[in-house]
Amino acid sequence: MTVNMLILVTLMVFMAAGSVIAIMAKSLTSSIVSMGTAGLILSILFLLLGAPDIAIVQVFVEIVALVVLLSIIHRESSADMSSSGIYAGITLVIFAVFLFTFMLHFKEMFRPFGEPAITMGAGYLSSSVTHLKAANAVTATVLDFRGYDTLGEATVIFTAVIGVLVLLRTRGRSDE
Amino acid sequence: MNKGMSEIVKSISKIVFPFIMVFGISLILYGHVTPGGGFAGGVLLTGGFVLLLLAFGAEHAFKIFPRKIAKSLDSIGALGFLSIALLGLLGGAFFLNFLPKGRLFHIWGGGTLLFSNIMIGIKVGSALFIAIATLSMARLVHIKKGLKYRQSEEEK
Repeated sequence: MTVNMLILVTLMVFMAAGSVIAIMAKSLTSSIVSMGTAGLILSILFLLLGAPDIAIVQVFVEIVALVVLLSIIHRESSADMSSSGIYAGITLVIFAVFLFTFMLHFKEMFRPFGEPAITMGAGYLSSSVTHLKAANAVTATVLDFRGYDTLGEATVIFTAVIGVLVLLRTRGRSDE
Repeated sequence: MNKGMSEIVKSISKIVFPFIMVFGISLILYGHVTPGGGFAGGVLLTGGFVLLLLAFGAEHAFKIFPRKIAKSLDSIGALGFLSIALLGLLGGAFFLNFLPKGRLFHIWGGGTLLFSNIMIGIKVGSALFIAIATLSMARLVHIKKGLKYRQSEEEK
């Protein structure tokens, strides 16, 4: 088992633990925080598996969800958000260990600068002209080679519009 | 007609609106030849309608692009894109480009790309317009116990 595989498995175990704690935790605050942990580890996994764009999106979504949920809980119930110094110290130590491991094995985990991990782009670029006869390689990639992504994005917009229409409806509200 | 902005804004947006529409449609139709595509063109179409909404008020914008039509166009675009993907199954795979590829640098090139662009453009344009219009008309009104939400259309 290589170091890379070991790191992946460790992160997955942490992610599973975070998810289980998020379900089992008594207080809502700790449940949300452990859910955020699972999401953050998922983004690190995306980064290690060679999908940096999805990792960035995942980090963004996790932070936004965490802030929104925590602010809702903070408003609804006057939960105590202050923490003691011991937990901060433990968190710092864990982060330091992770950072140190990362620094030690940096070269094995990533390719050298200038050599992208994803080498499919050249094939997309050449076959968009030769096979697909489309001059705009961006459209050819978005709508043909990676059509699944675009279908997902279309679904996201559709769901967002349905959400807006449902949340801001005037008929059939219970507070009439 | 005191709704909307001043007369200058109304006249200018009346002149500019057709050009925005034409540019958006051309972005959608030539998305696979020139920079652009369904998403960018759809957002541009939405921008034209939002200009109308800002200049003339929501009633006029909904007269030109009724809410019911926008809602059904949203669904039609999503289902159309999905059905283009499903039609690929006839050739053997999901999202297979089953049409003849045509010529390079021509509108009949790229197989299904043109139709996918049109569907995405319809979808994005109508969906963003509904979302922006609905959000812009959201109002909170004071009632006995706190605030209540309602749409500004109902104001008399």
